[in-house]
Amino acid sequence: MDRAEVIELARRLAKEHVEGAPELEVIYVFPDEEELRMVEVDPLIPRALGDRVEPFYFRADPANGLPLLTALAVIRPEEDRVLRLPDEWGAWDDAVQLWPEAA
Amino acid sequence: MGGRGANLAGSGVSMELDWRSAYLLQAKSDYEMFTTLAQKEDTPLCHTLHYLQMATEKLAKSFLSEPNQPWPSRHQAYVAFIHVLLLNPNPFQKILGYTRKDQYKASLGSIRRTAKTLEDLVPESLRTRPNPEYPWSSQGRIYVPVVYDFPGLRLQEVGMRKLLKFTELSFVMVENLIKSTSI
Repeated sequence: MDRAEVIELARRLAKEHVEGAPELEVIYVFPDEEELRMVEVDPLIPRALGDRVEPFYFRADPANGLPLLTALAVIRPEEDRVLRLPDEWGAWDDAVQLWPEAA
Repeated sequence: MGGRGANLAGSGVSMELDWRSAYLLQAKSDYEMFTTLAQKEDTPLCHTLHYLQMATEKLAKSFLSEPNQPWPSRHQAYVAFIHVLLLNPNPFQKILGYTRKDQYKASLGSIRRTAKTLEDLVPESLRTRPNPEYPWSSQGRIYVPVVYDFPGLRLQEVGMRKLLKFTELSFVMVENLIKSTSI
């Protein structure tokens, strides 16, 4: 998938996730053509194990609209833009914010 | 006789473990199998959930058991573990990183509901409810785990994401607690 398609896929997922969990404060995607990399900021989640974002990896599930391996991390508000990202993800400034949507 | 002298099968190494450490060691292995299956393409969800249910059960038993007594031979433990944490915000709220007590209670209450659904996967003798191992029947229809989609337990659902994050931190917390009380 190209970058625009990945962002669109992430945007759809983010919408679903916010509908299921209105407490989510921010959702980011770090665009990559091989892997869907998302971070969600949730005040109702325990803290990180260390000083890094630790995503959980889910297999691709094309039958349910997920054509890519998904790496999804959920962090607390005080960890937003503070935790270190996985090495291959780039920097926080590379993130595309999906939620809240830009006005 | 107690729990001394547990053996690490296949390793050729005998280790002196108490029951809590023994449950934790097996729980970690079950959890590794779960994470492997969660990423492996074409793995039916039932097998993935089976390992998660077993891992969380043993994790809870490692916390709830006495060092020299195995947990009673029943599968229900994870919901009880979360309940103990809910009733004891001091020290667990701080350990789990919650800054507000109301958020701690709301979060663990939500995780406990998902944990109950997971815990209920243990097969019961009448075979009338979803489980990851055996076909069951409900309202005259027979269901098979390998082609069942387990609503409420799909890995990317909100409740499951929270339960998985909580479970991973709980492994660290329980291991630290066991170490600190094993001197």
